[in-house]
Amino acid sequence: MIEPFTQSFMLRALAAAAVAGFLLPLIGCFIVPKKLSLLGDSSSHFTFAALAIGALAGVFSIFLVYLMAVVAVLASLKLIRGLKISGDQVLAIFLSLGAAVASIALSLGARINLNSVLFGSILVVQPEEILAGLAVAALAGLFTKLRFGEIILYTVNEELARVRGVPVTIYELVLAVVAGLSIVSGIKIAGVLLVTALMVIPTASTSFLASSMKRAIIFSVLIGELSLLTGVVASYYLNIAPGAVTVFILLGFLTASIASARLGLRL
Amino acid sequence: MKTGRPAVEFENVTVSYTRGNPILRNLSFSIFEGELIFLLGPNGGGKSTVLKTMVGALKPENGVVRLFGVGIEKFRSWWMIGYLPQNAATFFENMPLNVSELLNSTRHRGRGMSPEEALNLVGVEDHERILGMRVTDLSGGMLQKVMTALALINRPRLLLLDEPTVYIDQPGVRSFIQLLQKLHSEWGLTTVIATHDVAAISIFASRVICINREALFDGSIEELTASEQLCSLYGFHVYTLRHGHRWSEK
Repeated sequence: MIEPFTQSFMLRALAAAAVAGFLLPLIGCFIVPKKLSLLGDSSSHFTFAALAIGALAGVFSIFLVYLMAVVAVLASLKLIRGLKISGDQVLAIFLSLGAAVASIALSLGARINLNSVLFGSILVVQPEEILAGLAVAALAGLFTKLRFGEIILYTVNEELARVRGVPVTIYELVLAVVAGLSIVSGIKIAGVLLVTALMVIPTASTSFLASSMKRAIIFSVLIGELSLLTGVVASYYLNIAPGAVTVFILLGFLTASIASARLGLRL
Repeated sequence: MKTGRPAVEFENVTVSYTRGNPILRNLSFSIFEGELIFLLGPNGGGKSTVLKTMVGALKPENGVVRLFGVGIEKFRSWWMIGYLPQNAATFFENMPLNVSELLNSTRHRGRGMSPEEALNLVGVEDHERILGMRVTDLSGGMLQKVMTALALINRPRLLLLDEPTVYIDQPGVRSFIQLLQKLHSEWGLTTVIATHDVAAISIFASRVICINREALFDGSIEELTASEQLCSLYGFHVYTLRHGHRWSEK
């Protein structure tokens, strides 16, 4: 029973899962109400492109991957604001662009393990990635705790936030950086195609269940942690991608939340 | 109530959403401290754009906007401004935010009143229950009251209301007007109300600015109803109705 916890790769995978299980649902609580649910997909596909280009060029830099993810989120937000078109259109365009660039790099001979990049793997997590994720998680958690009211206003409506003196442009930058870094932190474990589930499904579940935003954040993080950690352990025993198992567990939580809401239960 | 000091100044302000198609053209007016102003105009005429420009959400292509004598780009005393935007119900979709969290998110530490006081001010008595409710569970009328409490929680000196009576039934409109009367007489609150509802304005207008991309009229309700401006503004004859209660009534 304790066998997986004695393996160093599993300990790294569990640590990475704990970080991603905290960060992605946390950021999802603010991205989903802003109707930017596809942000995870567009950014993760850009990250996919960065990985493919890196493989083609024979170089890999985690910092380049982080940078690409942040640039993708920031550019998406700037385009949504600048072009005054809906978020889902811009994000779908970015998603397609990232996938197209990755596809070209793969066609030109980039050699990456597609299965682990797209659906996650418990074998590929590096210690420096866990440390970077931990630092981002600590900063994001602290920022949310200290600036909760301002973040709430920024999420509800940017005009209201502006009238309260909230520096909207800085908050947008913080959102882009934290979202981009969170997505990268989750990609190794959950995979490019499934990382968005960790941002969206916990938030969707708690939007039915929670009686306040604070509780929604706590429940979302709990759901994210439970799902991803269970997914990683299940992946060890069942030898299937952790992202896929995680998504099914998340969907179980969502179904239970909807059923609870139908019964009039709120926590 | 008017002090002669301008709370809001617009000087030749032009605002465009798309280049070459200004929604506001060379708009100039001043609103003085203690005044109660109606911005009147048809849908799409630029009323909300005026308010959004006042709060710095839109940057003018040309012209100058000042709040309490300070250029909008340098204005920092945002606690002085209370703002009730249009269509507030759409802000909270998919968000399990409760009323207490919403009111506390805006509250200025030191200057702001408690959420209970703010709700009391707008006539909500059942504080404990309402504060614990999710914003998405409120009725349209209650949401409008909560949003008004949000605009007032920091005891602002300038209150900007965008279509505030849209979700309120007639008795609700009456009590809303009584609240504005009280704030005007007790706080000397400068108030700007953007509305397309000519019936609402005729209740207690003190000064009216008619806007349809540019300022078409600036004067009293009597001057407005005596002129043909309402007709030219809306494109058809508009009949105003004097309600029983007046601005000066308690």
